[in-house]
Amino acid sequence: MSHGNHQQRLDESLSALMDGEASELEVQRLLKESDASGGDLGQRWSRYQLAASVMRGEKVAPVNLGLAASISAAIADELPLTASAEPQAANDASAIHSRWWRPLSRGAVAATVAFAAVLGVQQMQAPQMGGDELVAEIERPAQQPVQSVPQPSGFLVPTLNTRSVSTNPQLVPEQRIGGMGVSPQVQVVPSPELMRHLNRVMMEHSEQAARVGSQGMVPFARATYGERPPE
Amino acid sequence: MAKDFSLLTLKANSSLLAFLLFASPLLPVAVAQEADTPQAEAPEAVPGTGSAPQNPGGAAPAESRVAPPTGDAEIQALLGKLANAVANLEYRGLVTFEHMGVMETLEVVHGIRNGEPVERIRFLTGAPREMVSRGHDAQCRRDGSPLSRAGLWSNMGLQNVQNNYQFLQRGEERIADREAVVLEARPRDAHRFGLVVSVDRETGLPLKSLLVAPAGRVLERFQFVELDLTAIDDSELQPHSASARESEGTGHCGSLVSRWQMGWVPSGFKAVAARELADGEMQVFSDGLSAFTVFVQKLGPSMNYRGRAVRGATVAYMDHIEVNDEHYTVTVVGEIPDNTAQLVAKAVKTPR
Repeated sequence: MSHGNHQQRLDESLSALMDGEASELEVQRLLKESDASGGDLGQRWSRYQLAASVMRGEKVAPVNLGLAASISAAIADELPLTASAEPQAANDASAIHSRWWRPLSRGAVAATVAFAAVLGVQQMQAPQMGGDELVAEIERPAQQPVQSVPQPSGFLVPTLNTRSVSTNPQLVPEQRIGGMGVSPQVQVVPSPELMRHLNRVMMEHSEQAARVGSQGMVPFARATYGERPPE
Repeated sequence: MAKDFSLLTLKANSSLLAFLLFASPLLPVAVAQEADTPQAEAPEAVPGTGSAPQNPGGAAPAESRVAPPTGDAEIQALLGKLANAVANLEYRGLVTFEHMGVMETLEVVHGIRNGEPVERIRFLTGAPREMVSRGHDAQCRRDGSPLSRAGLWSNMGLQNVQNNYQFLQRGEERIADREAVVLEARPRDAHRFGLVVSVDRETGLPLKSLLVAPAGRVLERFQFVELDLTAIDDSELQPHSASARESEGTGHCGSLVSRWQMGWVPSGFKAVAARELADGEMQVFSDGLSAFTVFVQKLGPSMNYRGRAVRGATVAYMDHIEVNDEHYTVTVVGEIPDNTAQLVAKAVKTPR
């Protein structure tokens, strides 16, 4: 129970920090927790940053903490190799070889990093480039809209719901009972035909709603939002 | 002049600071409390569980229900002003439109030509999108439907809206350099979303509007950054991009009687418009603020999809029915809760 509260507070602090709105107290709490919980909080932080960058459309190289750790491990492993080469000075060729080998292997490690990074970018970017909506599956912090004025009490902290990123509708088929191991929010990549239908009905609805409601131009904004340039 | 300015910033700074000091340590607690309040109230209003008599047909005239709360006269006046401004004011402005965690900026122009509103809206961010809509209000107004655009202005429309929403005044704020009164429309049941609208004190124009789901979750925000109330030139109503979509007034307000029966719609929603499509028909329902549309179309078996699609605040629930060996795709689209859309879709009945 208290754990849940604590976790919720941490989550909130973390997203406040994301928005640059964390208080001194919250920063302290986060730092303390990141020491205590090991990598978990740090990993979430970097995932949030990554997701934020992706949403901003930046090309990003994800900082893979696991990768960094394995590189450290690889470099650590390497030391005994060169150390063991020194005592065997009788074999000159081996010493020369190891002297050449050393920078080369460092380069090889660097190349591995670069490759992983590029691969990471492609994996992150590809869905967005394709105009698909898989990006939404990336864990994303609830985004706090910038508040210009303290909200009147009663509807505090209006967090903008981030249900989707692309202008396409997000599909959630009705759950079949008995489906096992399926997360309740399965995202389906819809057929272009279905997508066209959904875009069309949403547009028609919004235009009609603009004509009957008292919402001013908001429905027109909705109607135009998902519009596609003619294909 | 400079003195005034520094005084103002000082004041702004200190109030901001006060808010931060107050808000940040207490924020989690406050959020928890706020999240509880609306939920605690909601169950009473949920149809079927409460003691309030529910009309399954949903077509009960709102006037026959419990007498509307004697709304604050000021709120009534403000709502009337809003409805009037939305329909009859000429303005142009820059607007931010946020949903789905994305913010876009738009240019909006609202003109009146021959007594009909002409609107142009153009996205300034993302893919170029533009729409010009003209002359669509005539039929709705002629029809005299209490829920048509100027509905809030008439007594009957206002009464109906107040049967479905409780209006509260929530202070004041400044938007686009103008003084605004913040109004909250709190839904009386779980079948519609709430609205928070900041109404321009001088003109009644909504300068900011939020669509709010239960627990204070904001689904969408539309807000003016800059507003200009001078008369609109014809050139401003012309499309600015080649790809602009022009929408002519093809809508009809209640002129077509749908051949599809609705077994149930949430109370307070009435059919306000119907239209024939090439492959079926659509019927629009409104409670004066929120709206949803029921599409029944013959789209072939490949469209026999059952589930919902969400874009921002808009949900589309798809279902299908079979009538006389013919497949029909039912799609309910609107800014309404997902469950409500599903219930409405399931309530589409065989034509008589």
